Amino acid sequence: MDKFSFLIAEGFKNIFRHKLTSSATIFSIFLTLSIVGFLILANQNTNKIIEYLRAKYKIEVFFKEGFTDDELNNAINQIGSIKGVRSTTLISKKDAEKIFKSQFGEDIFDLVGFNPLPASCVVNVEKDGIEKLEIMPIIKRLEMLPVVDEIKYQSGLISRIESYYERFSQIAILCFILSLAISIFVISNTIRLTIFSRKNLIVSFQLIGATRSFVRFPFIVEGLFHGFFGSMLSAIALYFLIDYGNTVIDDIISFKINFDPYLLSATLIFIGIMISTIGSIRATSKYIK
Amino acid sequence: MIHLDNVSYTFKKGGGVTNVNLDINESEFVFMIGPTGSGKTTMLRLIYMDILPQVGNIVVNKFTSSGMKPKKLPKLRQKIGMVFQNYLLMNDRDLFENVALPLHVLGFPKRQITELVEKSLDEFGLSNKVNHYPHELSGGEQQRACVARAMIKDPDILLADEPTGNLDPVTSFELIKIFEKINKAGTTILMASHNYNLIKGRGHRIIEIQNGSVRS
Repeated sequence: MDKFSFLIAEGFKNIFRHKLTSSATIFSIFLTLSIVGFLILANQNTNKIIEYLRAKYKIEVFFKEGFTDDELNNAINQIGSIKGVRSTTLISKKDAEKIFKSQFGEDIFDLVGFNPLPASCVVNVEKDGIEKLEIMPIIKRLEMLPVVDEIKYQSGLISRIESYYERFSQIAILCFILSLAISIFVISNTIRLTIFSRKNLIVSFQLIGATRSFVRFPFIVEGLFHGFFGSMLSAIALYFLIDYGNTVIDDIISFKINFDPYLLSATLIFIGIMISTIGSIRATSKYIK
Repeated sequence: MIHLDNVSYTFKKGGGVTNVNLDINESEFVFMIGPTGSGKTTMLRLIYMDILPQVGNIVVNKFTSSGMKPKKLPKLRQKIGMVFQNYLLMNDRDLFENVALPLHVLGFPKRQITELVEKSLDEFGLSNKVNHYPHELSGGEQQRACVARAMIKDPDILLADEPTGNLDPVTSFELIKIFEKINKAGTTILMASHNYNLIKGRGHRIIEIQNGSVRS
């Protein structure tokens, strides 16, 4: 127990014994994880933007004349079960007549003597998926229905948005992986330099009969602290940055950067602790005989 | 206590020791003399098994070099005290922490560590320097601190590699006297030095090492 508490205390004391190298390590963790955190948030919020845009996608399906309400309701149910369809809204001939009156201020009966407006349906597509939304399979399934007369949708616009989104997602994932790799590289090299400056200490420890785990343990405690503190700082910095960003954006457009501070902190702390602890173990192994 | 049987070790860039046979008995004080680069440090490194012989066998305190695993090394070294020319004190901690370190390695309780370190520092005339860092101590004080650190765990063997190399003649003689006192208490000592004047006529066995070979 005395040995264990000594090793824990050693780890913490080392942070203060080597203030400069500790600060450098914490700062490098803070800096690199801030970039990682920023990319996580950017990716999350791109999803929100695409969800917002997909909510605006509209497919209008016009039905043929001569079908009963039951037949149309049956068709609506079939449309609702198509993969990729989120919801459907039936606009009956009567609803169409009301809409015409509200939009043009005149009764269609007074104009042409009968109601020529067809019953129709507004189809809303799924908005949550992270993958590219394919609109054509939905259109093909709709065309196969016997009640369907005409389908109107923004074909070019939707496919262009979805293509841009797909490309952006791929780049974002690549950037995230790249920034994570750079973080691992920078943090482990900073730790390696820190431990290199103390390689005589490791030798001295071993010469007085310390076991490998005895030598390594304080460095692991130190690494844990560096990782925790550096990642906490990056989480705090991102929190305030987003908070400020939201107030600025709020003045311009009605969009809010969405994030869960607890999840973001937990993710960054996990990454920080993992990288710095593994980095400490690897760096000490290099000098322990 | 220390037995070297036809031991050879050659470094890649040359130098080392060849066909060394040596026996050092329990409670013996042995001086090892030879010019710089003759192989004294290699001999000591072989004894504390920092390097293992390429040929031959070494037995130290029942630990045998053949088939020695890194896991067993700490056990061997816990019974060997080491003193170096450049002290190898840890500059990031004070004198008390430096001397206490071997006891932490051995898992001594905190209260006993405090008692033993205070006693040891008093014995080596360093009790007024407890909170000093190595760079705040003179060369002689640093070397005494190094001996105190080596002796605090009550080792069976004390290995000293040119311990007087950085000290003036007066401090060097004082250190030899300290070693003799330690030896009288039963610790086996092997001290390497290139200064024959310092060790001659003290009644201890002297082994001479030249070009990696021992000439008694």
